[in-house]
Amino acid sequence: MATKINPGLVDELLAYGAEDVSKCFNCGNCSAVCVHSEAPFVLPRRPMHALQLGAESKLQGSLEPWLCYYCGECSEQCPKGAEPAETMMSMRRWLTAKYDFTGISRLFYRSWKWELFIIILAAIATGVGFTLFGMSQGSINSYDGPNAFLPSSKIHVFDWAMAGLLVVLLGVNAGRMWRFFTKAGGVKASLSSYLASLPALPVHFFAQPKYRECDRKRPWAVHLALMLSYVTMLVLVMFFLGELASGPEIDWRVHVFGYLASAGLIGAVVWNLRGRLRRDSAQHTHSHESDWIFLILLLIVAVTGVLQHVLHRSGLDAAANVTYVVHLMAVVPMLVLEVPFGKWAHMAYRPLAVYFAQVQLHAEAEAVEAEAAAEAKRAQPLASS
Amino acid sequence: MSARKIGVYVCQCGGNIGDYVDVDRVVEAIAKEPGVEVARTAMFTCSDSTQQEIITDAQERGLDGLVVASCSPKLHTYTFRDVARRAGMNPFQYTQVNVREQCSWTHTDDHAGATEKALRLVRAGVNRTRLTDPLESIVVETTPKSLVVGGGIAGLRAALGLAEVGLSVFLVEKKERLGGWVSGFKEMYPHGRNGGELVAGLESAVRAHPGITVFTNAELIAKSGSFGNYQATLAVQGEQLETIQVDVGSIVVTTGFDTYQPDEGEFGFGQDGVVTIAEFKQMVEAADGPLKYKGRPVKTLAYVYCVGSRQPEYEEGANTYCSRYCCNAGAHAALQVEALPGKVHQYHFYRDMRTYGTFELLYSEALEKGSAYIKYPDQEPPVIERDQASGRVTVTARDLLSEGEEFELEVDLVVLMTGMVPRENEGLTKALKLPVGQSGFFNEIHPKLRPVETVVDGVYIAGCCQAPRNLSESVQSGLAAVTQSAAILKRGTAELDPLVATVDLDVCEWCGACQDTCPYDAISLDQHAGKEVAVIAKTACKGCGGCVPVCPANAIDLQGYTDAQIRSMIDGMLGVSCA
Repeated sequence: MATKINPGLVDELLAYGAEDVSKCFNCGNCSAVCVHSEAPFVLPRRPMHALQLGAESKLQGSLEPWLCYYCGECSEQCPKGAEPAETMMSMRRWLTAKYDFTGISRLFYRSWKWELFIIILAAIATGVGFTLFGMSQGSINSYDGPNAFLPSSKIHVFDWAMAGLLVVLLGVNAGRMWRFFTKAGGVKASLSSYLASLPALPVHFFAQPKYRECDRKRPWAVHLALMLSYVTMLVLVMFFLGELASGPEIDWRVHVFGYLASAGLIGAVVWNLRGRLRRDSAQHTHSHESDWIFLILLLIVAVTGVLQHVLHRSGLDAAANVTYVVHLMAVVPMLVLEVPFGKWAHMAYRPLAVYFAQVQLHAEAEAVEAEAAAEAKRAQPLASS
Repeated sequence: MSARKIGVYVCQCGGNIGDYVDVDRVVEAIAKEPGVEVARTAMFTCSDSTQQEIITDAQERGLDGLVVASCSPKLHTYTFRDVARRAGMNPFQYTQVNVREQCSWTHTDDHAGATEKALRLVRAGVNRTRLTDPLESIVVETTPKSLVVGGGIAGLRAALGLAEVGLSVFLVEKKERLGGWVSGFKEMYPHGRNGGELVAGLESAVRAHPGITVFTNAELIAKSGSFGNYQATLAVQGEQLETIQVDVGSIVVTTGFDTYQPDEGEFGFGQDGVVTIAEFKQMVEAADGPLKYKGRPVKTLAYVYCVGSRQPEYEEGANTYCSRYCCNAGAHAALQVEALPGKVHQYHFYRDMRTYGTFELLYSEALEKGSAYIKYPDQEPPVIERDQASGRVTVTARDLLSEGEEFELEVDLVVLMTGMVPRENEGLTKALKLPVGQSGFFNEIHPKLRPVETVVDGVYIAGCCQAPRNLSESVQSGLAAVTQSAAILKRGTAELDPLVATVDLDVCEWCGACQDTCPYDAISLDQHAGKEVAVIAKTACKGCGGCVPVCPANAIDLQGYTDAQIRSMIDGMLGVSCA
């Protein structure tokens, strides 16, 4: 069956930031310099060309955009200035929107004004909600103890509810991603292929070993610091919120992780913000509005988190409580809106894509083996006769 | 003993000859031939130092014949004729012997055999040289007028150029109006100039020039005379048809091209929604709003390249050549469409993008403005289908740059990038005896070194009658023909090789056999000593020798290649010196 061309695809991707794709004349220099371009995954050339032609179904099922970590070398080597790295980035935005069944992603990526408006709306709702809640059951002058404004035991329940919502949203979208991949990619893999490739999922979620293969190591190191800090903080909040917030004494066994993670988060965000402001590398040359929102939100979360802790330790409980509310005003939109619908979603899709890629390779190897076995079987009667 | 004093120079050509032929042995043997005054080897005979050595030998020893045994006469005949002239010898008493292409290169596995063959070839050359007479170039007085056939851009510019160097010019155009294809073009690349205005400017300059006479509705129907002095007969359709004869020294043919007309069904041609680039250009240039086809808006557009060009060799009458302009024209049209209001998605189904030179910029711009390019396989042209019920047109093709994946595109219009084909010019071809190449276009003598000259002396070709070209290339070749014409006509005289056929009038008993065989109309009937004889116009004869063997009385000989010389060469090859 011939692939139907959607002539409007490039125009659609323009809204996601693919400004220069039309300049591409298909020389393939980008794929020649990319360490991740290895058959059957050819990047950036193949998705670039699919986009240029308007091969929408093909692009929609493509894993290739996720196999790129945006080192930017292809854009530096591109003789036409087609910015393959940034084009791949815009494809990831477009794919995120395609996977998302709610349509919120699409709205956010195509209009930063809407994104900001809804984030602010969510922040205000969160602020009002927690203030009313705090006033109804505690005192603004009390950070912990029986009269705490925002007692950790209650916040804890709220955290788990939010996590549950997140898992549902991302899970449904990941399922859609899998369907595009198997349908458009025409990949038929056995259960054993899915099981055998499973270890790839946590490995690539936590450590991004493929990112490390890029020629430039620093972005990977910074990303790893950010990722580990984030995960550490997540574990602390989800399982040790009580220890983190309570008591007149600091529980060093928990807090040392908290301090390290906070330093890691703030350091990595500042490094990225500085890079983007200075446009110091190909990776930081193009900044979409969603990139800024992502970094600034994270910075607010990290700084207010540290600040409310410092204020509380300094005995300024009222100020600590106010800061805590501000902290939650950033955390909630970040976790409920940015993680499933924005740039943060790559946290799920990229390791999934690496996993699916391994499944595909495994399935192809299996098919080759099966073919060889069948061949041997056909040859056997001949040999014996 | 021979009275001749011949110098023989056997070249080693670096190692090209010397590695396979024992040149010293050849020289040693040839030195003993009668009439050979001096025989030497040289590393490179064509080098300045060896040329000087030949001149010194000639002056010191009084040489009157020269044999150079080296490469093909195609390479250095004129070099050594000039050496002979500078050495005080007659240039036509020099013989070129080919011991490279026809000896050392062909017998690399047999050194002894190659040496023996070289010796025989050189001996044949010496034998021929021994029988040479001094000959003088034929000097022809030329008519300082030129005829340009075809009033397109190349012809107009050539006519003006000829007039500007002071020649009288007759410009003949078959159609009613001058200007050809370009007069119908609007904005052109790269300067955005309007083709019609460009031609109009040129035409008014041509018409205003006192040295140019323009004939429209006119054709060249016959040509007589010989090099430098042709009589051309023109048929001019005025109120009534009249013929005019003009005397000219040169003829410049700029009759242009025709566009390829696809067969019914070829690439979907003939169906609603499929047009040629020529038709499409008119549509685009006439558009005063969003692009429309038969009143319907065009939102998606497909260009299909190589229609009527680069057809497979095995097809009968295939146009195997590249028409060269179509890739550029496609990119240009895409940009014109882009400039119209409204968004049009443009897809180009191509085989190779040959936007050479600065046209690469045009292609880049078309790309940047959103044109998408699909590279279809040579043997699998796109399939263009129209659903009769819905009227939808689809183009289906495989894209080689997508691992051969097949794509289907629904379009509002398909533009066939039809190539250039040679015009039907049978009358002119016959009248001028113009050589036609395999592709049907007129042929030059040498594509690089003699790009506008034809085998008919004084008849030049330029523009698209010779090959597909763009405007500036056509004009360049037209001006090259101007230069070539000026070179023979401005001096007032021109020189021709004296290697032509001659008739022994005492022996000739007119039978007409020679006249029938002559491809150049050089032989005519005349009276001599009370009988009918054949006379040969020296300026028309090309020295092909075709008439020599057909003469029953053996009255014809070819200067420089007389029967006696040919026989002596055969003897030389058989090992006889025949001194």
